[in-house]
Amino acid sequence: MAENAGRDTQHPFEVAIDDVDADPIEVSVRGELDLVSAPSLGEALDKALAKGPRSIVVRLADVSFMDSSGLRVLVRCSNDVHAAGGSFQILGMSAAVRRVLEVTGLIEQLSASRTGDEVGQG
Amino acid sequence: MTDRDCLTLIVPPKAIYVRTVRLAVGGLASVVGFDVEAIDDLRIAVDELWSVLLDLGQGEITLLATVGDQHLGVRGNAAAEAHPADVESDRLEFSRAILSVVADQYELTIIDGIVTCSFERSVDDLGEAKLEAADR
Repeated sequence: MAENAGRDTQHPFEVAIDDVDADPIEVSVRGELDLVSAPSLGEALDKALAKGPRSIVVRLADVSFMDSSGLRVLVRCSNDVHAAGGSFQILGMSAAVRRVLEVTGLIEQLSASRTGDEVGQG
Repeated sequence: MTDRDCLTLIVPPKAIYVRTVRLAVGGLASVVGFDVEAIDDLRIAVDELWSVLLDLGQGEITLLATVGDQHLGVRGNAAAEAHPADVESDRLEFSRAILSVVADQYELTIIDGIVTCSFERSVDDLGEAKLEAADR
């Protein structure tokens, strides 16, 4: 389900949640995650969080750009999920995402070093 | 290009224009001769600059890009909001951390009611080697 489409036709932004009742909830993000689009991701993650404590997996392999606006949304969600007793994990990140997570030293905190193959394992 | 070209852009303080500014700085970085990775870093840097100016400033934002020989500098100014956060505040932590890595140097100040964020980067040795190879 597409939560939002950006106006940049070259890099349309899209957030999709496969099944909001699933556990883990998988949130897929595509396009440029920046000051403009980060609020849309925040809304989608809030919707997932509203279902109660559970696992949230965010797929960022198709994110072509990310800045600190996107990072702040991810960190806030991670903190909220952990505070509620759930788990949060980034999987399948792009080079652009990896760069920002490495620069800020958050790559381990957000479990981003795991591979996409680990989804659903354990 | 002369030894140093200066380009000025005056932009309304809206988040949506970050993409315009990012595109402009990416284009200038390409003109200077940065490699793809450095251009990506500079695109991140200008997003952080824009984010800081929107956060701490009010009113239109003036961007000055200085394009030199294998060097790019970007400086953004805006009137500071009435009670701006300290430039060392936690809410700017990520922006400071990112700028400290993706730029050779950066500066973030609020002086006399003007918030300024700037960064500079030069083509590194690897990039210079690529430019020399391209010239041949």
